Amino acid sequence: MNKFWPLFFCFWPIVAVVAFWISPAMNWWFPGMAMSPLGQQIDNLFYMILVIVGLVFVGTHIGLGYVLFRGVAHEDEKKSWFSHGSHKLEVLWSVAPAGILLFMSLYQLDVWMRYRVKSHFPDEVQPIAEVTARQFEWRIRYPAPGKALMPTPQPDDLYTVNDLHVPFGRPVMIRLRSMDVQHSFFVPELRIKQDAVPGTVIPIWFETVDEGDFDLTCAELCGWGHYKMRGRVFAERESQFQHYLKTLQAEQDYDGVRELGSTGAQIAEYSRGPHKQAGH
Amino acid sequence: MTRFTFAVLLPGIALIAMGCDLNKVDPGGGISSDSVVTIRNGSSAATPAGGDGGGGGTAVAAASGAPGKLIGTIKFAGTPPVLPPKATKGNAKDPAVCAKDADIPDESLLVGANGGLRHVFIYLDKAPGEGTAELPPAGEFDQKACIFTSHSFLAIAEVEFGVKNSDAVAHNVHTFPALGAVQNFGMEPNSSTTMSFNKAEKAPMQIKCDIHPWMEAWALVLEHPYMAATDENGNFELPELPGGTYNVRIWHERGAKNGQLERAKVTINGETRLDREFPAGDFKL
Amino acid sequence: MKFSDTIVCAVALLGIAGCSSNSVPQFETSQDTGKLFQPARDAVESELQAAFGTPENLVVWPDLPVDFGSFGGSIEKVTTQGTLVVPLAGQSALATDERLPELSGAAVLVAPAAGGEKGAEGGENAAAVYRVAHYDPESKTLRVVDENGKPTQVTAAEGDGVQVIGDGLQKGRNLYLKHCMHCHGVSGDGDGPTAPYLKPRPRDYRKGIFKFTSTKTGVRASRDDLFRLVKLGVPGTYMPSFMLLPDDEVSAIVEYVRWLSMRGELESKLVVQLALDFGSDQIGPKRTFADMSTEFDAFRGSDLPDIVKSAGEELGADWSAPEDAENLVIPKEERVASSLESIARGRKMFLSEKTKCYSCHGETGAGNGAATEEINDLPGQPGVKAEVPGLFDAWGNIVKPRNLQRGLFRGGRRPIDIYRRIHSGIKGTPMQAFGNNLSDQDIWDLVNYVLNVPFEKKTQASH
Repeated sequence: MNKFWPLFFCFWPIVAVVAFWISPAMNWWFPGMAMSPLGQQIDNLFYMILVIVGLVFVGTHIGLGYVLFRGVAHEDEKKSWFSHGSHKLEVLWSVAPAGILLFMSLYQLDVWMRYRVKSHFPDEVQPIAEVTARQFEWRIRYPAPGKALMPTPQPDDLYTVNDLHVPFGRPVMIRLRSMDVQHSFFVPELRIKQDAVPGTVIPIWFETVDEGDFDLTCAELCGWGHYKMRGRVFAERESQFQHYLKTLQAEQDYDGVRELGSTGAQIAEYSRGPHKQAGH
Repeated sequence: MTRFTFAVLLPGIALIAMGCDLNKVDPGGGISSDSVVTIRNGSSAATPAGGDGGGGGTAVAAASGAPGKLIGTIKFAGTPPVLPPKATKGNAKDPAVCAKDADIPDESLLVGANGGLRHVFIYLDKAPGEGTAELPPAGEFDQKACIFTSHSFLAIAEVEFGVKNSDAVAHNVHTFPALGAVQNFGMEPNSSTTMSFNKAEKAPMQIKCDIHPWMEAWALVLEHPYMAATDENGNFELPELPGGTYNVRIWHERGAKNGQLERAKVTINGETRLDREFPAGDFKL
Repeated sequence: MKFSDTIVCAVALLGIAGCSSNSVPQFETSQDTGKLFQPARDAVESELQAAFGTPENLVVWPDLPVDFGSFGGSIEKVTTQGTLVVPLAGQSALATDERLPELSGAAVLVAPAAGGEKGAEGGENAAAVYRVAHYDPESKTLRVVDENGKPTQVTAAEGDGVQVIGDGLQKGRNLYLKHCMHCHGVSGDGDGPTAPYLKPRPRDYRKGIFKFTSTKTGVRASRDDLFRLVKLGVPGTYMPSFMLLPDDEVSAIVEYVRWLSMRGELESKLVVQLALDFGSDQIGPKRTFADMSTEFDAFRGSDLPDIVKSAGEELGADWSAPEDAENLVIPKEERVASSLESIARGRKMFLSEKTKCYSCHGETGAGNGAATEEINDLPGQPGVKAEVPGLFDAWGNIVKPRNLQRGLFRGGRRPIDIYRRIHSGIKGTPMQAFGNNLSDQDIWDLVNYVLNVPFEKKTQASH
């Protein structure tokens, strides 16, 4: 029975090692694989920290277990003695973590710069849409096909809501704004989380490695309807993306008379209800 | 703490921690209840209470007596309050047209020299079974000098009538029916069109012009022609009715009880008079 | 021990008592109904109860043009007692074949084929009501029980029509309670728990009026209009986009909203019929409560069923009309391309005496025209001046003419949307219909101008 506590504290490092080992494969840490190169680097940073923290955790627990085991192994009842500590040890366990932290903060600078510092953004990245967060939705403005996004609305801009389409395979930039309170643009699978602050326009860039649709959620409690502030990010082929813009354009220029042509059938499903489709 | 304490405390805390989510069905929105659907077979759910069918509502009593017209005078008892004009001469919007030559009067309480009250609607709620009066020719609704003429308008449901804008400014005709469809259309200067009301109403409806907020009229839409509006002396005349007892509504826009001044029971036997005098207390003033 | 245990017991009791808080959703009667005298109020409530039920016991009134997710078919063979062979097919978007095996418990209407001995049965609607015990889509065998779940004799013949009421309404109800109720209220009165904090106020459906429609003046909103509105939201208001809800869920919500609107309309139709005769304010020395009661009893027996019946027929006609293509506003001519000339013509039209657009929207389109400075009568209370200047909508709220400079279009920014706003007005607001006196060309010029207002300075500066 005396060995319970040493065994207890030695049991956890074993669990931890097993957990650390299998969790990436079991997808326990992240919501799926990072779908962007930068996201993969962020994941790598995370794993690096995980290894450091894991080693420390396992090490300290083994040490703790060992000390307890020693304590119960010595049958002779020696009186415990109290120490006011060792100056050398104090210095050691202050400097070592500080060094580790310093290392981590320097090591991640590269990723941080590429992610956030404008001068280190990929050269060719262009804003493709302006996303305006408001209670409780994401309003999206695209430039007309073939045009560049301007800072202010243009007559031929295209508008949609909650449905962000982006091409994959090249870096794209979003201009993030807020119309009312603070929101946060969070796409877990792309490892992007950026607050939208009223009064400022914040550029964020990302590159999606493959096709797919990803959840876009608000990660800043923004009001009673925070939970329903959900959107989608569709990563699609460049041609599909251009086609989407053309579809949006046709939908937006619809005058009720002109035939919509081939794009008509594909006009985003919201433009006509199922009833009308069934009826026609 | 005793074992008893634990036995009670733990489930209590557990319950609170669970958020009391004991309900199986939770459609969300804070509402935890399921629904069932039953079917309504047939179109009327009203359970007839075996009424006599005679005295209810505004139904007609057994026909007796000679046919005749209903005529009469509606008066305002006492001294009527003086209402300020809705816009004074030269001080209205669009001064080139509106209130150019005279003030725009407040027509909501017009009392004649003898106390006769203008713009009171007198009407039967229901057509008499064998009423024979012909539908009157449809009137014309005009907008002149930024005033609707007339202030009290009579119309038959689904019968078209002319609407005119005799002014050099645009107006709009915005109706506020209780049962029928709302209409709100623009009238360009010096134009005319036609309109009709799609459903009969229980009481006169307001008609407004949103461009000139003082412009206001009242229209009574029925399925039958047994209605009238009083003239400047408070006189009215209803078409000839078969003999019998009728419920006659006397309605004025300032009537204190939804506009209704009285629901009079009138027996027609030859030409019949209905004269009423209402004190200030019966009006919203 | 005694004292601490008392506290502990109290905590435990609180924990349990907290669970009884699950609120039961209830339809509320309108303020106007409250102004009737008690027996009339009770009658209105019981009519509504019979026609629409409660949120926990929804009533399907098959006469209403609501997609209840029903399945229909005609009987091929009556095998044994309570078992019929019927090929059932979905009759609407909410009734798909995948739902066929899940019909158990649904209500069944069996009606004689049209032209049969309908007259002989005496009733106008001689349908019999059962419930589905089981339906096998393979063999098309439908076993029915009576409404209480007991085996029963089915009086049916080959060729009789069978209608199985699906769960469309329940589905809509659950989704509505989840997504819409907290603003729009359980009864659709626009007065849910969140509503007091919102401006503009959430829509009160009970008038059957929706502002942004594709239909002509006086016609209700179509399903497509509501569907689009739920999917896209209303920019500039608190109505968010429900883009991510699947189409069938949005359709179910739309049907439930239409159903709630019909409920509200039935209520107000009944109240209008009763208010002049049976309002509690009519009780006085001339007409006592007893007089009124006697009269009302007779009225209830003789007139009320007819009133309900014709109100139901009106609802049916009114809510079917918007689905008719004839009632949609479709321009006859294509949009005039947006050019400086067209915009200039539109601007001239905007400022003309013909349309007087400027009188509400202001000369620069900022929504600050002279009409917004006028004191109007309070809505529904003619002769009573409002305390603040402004225009009112049908729900009694002050409504601001749209500030066109912001480029926010609540009813949609497509040219066709703006065309429809101009052509048939915005229902329930002072925005009037210009379809009568403007040509398509005029309206398209106005559309081009309105779409250009946010960019006006730039356009002028660059030329």
